[in-house]
Amino acid sequence: MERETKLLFGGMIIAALGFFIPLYFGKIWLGLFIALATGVIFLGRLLSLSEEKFESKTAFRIVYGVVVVIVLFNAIAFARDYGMKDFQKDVLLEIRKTIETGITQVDVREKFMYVLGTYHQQNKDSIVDTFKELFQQHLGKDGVYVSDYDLSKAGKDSLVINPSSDDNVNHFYEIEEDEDEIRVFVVSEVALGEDLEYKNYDGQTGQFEMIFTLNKEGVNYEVLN
Amino acid sequence: MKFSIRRINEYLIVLLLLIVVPAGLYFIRGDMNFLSGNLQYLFNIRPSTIILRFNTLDAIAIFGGNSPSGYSITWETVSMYLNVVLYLMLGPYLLFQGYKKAAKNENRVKPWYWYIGGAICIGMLFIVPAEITRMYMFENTIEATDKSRTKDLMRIELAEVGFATAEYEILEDGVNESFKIQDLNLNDLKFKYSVKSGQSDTLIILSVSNPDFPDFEVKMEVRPYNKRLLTQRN
Repeated sequence: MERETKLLFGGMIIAALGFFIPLYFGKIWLGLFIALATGVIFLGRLLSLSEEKFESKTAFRIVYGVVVVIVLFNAIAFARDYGMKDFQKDVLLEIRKTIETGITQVDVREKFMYVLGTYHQQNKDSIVDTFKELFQQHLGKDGVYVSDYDLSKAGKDSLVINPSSDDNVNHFYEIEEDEDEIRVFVVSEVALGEDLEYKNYDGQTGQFEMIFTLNKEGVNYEVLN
Repeated sequence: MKFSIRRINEYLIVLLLLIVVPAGLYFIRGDMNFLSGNLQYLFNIRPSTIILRFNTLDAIAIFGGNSPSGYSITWETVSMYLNVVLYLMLGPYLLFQGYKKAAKNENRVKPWYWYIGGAICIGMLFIVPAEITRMYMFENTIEATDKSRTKDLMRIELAEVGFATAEYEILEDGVNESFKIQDLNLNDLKFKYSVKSGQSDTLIILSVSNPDFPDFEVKMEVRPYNKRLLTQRN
C-alpha cells in the first residue's frame, strides 16, 4: 500500500475516533474540531509528500497557497460558528423574558394599580381587603397566585389555544395583614436570570424572577434575578 | 510550437467542472434540490452549520418550555464527519494520486479519479465566497437584532413611565396641565418622552421616541383608575 493511501486510511480512522467519541458524550464542537484538525494535518502531510512530484517550484507554491487559504477559511468558519453557537438561544431567551415581563406587568402590576386606585379613590380601610374584594379568584391555595392565563385555562377560555399547555411561569403570593401589604413572586421556568446560582422562590435555581409589592404607599416592581 | 489536444481537453474538462460543480452545489443547496432525502448533507462545505441548525431547534424548544434534544449520532451528525473526509482528505488524495499516475505515463493522461478529486477540490474552494457572504449576512442580522432590542427597550421603558404616571396621579393627584415626565423623578431614562392630555380627565397619552430611529414612535394611553390601565400603540 502506498504511503498516501496509508495516510488517508490513518487520517480517516483518527478523524472518526476524534469525532464520534466526543459526539457520543454530547461534545459535538470538540468532535468537529478534532476531525477538522486531523483533516488539516492530513493536507499538510500530503502536501509535503507531493513536493518532489511537482514539475516546478512555482506550481508547488501555488498549490501550497491554495491549501493555506482553504485551511484559513475553514478555521475562520469554525471559529465564527463556534462564537455564535448560543446566539439564537440567547436572542430567543431574551425575547421570552421580554414577553413574560410584559404579560406579568398586565397580569399583576396592572391589577395592583387598579386596587391602589380603588383604595385611594374610595377611601377603603385596607389595601389587602380591597384586593380580596376585587380579585379574590387570583388568590389560590397554599400561596399560589392564579394568573389570568390559568384562570382562562380553567374556564376553558377560547383565548387559550391548547388547554393542556403550560405558560411555564409560576406565580406565588404572600399577604402581610399587619403591614397591609401583598406581594406576588413570579418565577420563569424558561428565561434565565442574571445569577445562575440564585435560589428562586419556587425552589428552582438561576431562573428569571420578579416581585410585585402592593401597599398603600404604592406598587413596587423589582427584578430579583 | 506543438499543442497537445489531449492536454487541452483535460483543461476543458476542468473548466467544465468549474462551471458544473458550483452549479451542482447551488442546486443541491437551493430550491431545486434534486438529491433525495438528506443526501445533500454529504456535500455541505461548512459542517458546523449543522450544529448551528441543531442549536436553533434546541433554542426553539427551550423557548417553548420543552427540553432540548441535544446531539446524538444521526445521519446529519455522521454527514459532518463525511464532509471533513470528503473535502479535506479524499478530494486532495484523489487529485494527487491521479497526478502521480499521469506523471508515470508518457502522454500524461489523467485517470478518472483525477477529475473526481479535482471536482471535490473545486467544491472545497467554495468555502471562501460562502464565508465572505456569511460575514455580511451576520452583520445584517446583528444590526436587525440590535434594532429590535432597542424597540423592545423603548416599549418596556414606556410601560415603566406609564405605571409611574398612573401612580403619581393616584397618590398625589399630580397629573394636570403642567405635568412633565421629570415630575416622576425617574432616573436614567434612555429615551425622549412627551405628554398629551386625553379627551377625558383621567386619560394621559405618553409617547416615546428615539433620535436613532426617527421613524419609530410608540404611544401609550394611561387610564389610572381603569382596570385596563395601559394601552400601547405603535
